[in-house]
Amino acid sequence: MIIHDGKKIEVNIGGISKSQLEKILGEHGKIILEGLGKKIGEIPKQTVVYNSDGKIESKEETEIRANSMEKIADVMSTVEGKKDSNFNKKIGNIKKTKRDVSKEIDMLKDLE
Amino acid sequence: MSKEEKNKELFEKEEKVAVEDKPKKEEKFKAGVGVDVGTSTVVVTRQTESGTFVNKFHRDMLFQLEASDESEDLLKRGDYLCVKTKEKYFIVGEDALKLANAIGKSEDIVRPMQQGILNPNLSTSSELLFFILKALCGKPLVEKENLRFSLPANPIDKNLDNRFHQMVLNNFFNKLGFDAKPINEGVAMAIDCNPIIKEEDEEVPLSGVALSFGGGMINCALIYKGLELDSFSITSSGDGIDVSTSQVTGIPVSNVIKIKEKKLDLNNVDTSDRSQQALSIYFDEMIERVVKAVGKKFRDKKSEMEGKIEIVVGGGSSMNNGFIARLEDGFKKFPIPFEILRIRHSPTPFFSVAQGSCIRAMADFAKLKK
Repeated sequence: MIIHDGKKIEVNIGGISKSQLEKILGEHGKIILEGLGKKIGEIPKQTVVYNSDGKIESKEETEIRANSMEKIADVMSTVEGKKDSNFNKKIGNIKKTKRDVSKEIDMLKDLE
Repeated sequence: MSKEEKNKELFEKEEKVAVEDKPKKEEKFKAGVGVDVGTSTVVVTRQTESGTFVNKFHRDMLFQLEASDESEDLLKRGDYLCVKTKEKYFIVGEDALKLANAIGKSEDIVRPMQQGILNPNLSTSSELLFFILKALCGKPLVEKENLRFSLPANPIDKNLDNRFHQMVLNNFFNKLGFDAKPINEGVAMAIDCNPIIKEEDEEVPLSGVALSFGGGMINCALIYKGLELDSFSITSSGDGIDVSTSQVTGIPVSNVIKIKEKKLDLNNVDTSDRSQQALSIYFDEMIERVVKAVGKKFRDKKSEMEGKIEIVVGGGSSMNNGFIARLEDGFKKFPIPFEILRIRHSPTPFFSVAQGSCIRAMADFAKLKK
């Protein structure tokens, strides 16, 4: 989750509930969570990002993280392949191996 | 040319065309995809309905060039695979290493991942990693297809938190239309290799220790009947060996990588070659560090485990000939609290994490159908 410097909020809680997130972040997490759902411009400027230990991260790191999250959303608009159609075909090498893994799947599908 | 000859030529041409036009038999894939987002390589794995794992892999490396007419010429002539941003060209994958070696500018190599997680200092290259991942993964086969991506455990020797890395990747794969979940890298390795614990006459499957020697980290997991009992990681793996070797020999990192991958035989080190000597020393140092850490970490687990335990090993940094023999020696010198049944190298060490992730994703899908 990211709180930017009062201008924008990007939130990704990746399937983790608010209460779980509060637990992970500790007391400081509540400050961040209060910001969730608010519109751009409504976030207090003093808001900072805390890491999982409840420590304040450096501003520089905060900005990098915020930037990368914003860019991920429209990654295709910022970079382009040499020849788009060929890029997907050319990228990566392929190695094939054959094996029956049905026993492993049977065991694993019953696990939580 | 006689009429008969002309007819023959025409017939042969037609026959050739007819053969080429035959549709290729398309392999159908099962639902469930595994992704190993490694420091040195990205691997995406699916399994066909006939049981073949198809591993698509790509070296996780970029070589940057300022966008200019000269750069464009170079790229056109070399037919390098690249992506372009506004200011730079990024040659991706194996081509990046080839070009770095050819030009001799290792410093222009960019690694989107560092020590097992997204490189926090390089937001642009993270975008490029996602671009590459998207091309490798393709589209989901079914709506919200299950996807498992490898996640390193938090390291015991460095204050590093993988939560941000996990969330960003989760978000990214979900945006592509998958139902993504992380899987511990060591556990994925164990699932693929299926180690056993031998208890008297019984062999307990999916139980034992897995060690994944990646580019950035070494991941270790202890599992019992498929359940993770403990896991941890240790920093400085293959990349650390490369950098240390480069520092003591003065040979650029890109050349060290080439020597390590193409020449180094740990059973038969060429002592006249300084880089091989240094590589051999740093491999030993890494093995000693890992074996000691495994012993220390699992000491308190001794009471929970009975029987002889199999250790399975994989990862790109375990692939040099003689590596397993050195690891066996390491476990003899620094015993761990378990009785070792044997140390087994994955038959596909480079792909085990992705294959294990794929098996887990297929099991997720099977569970949904149940």
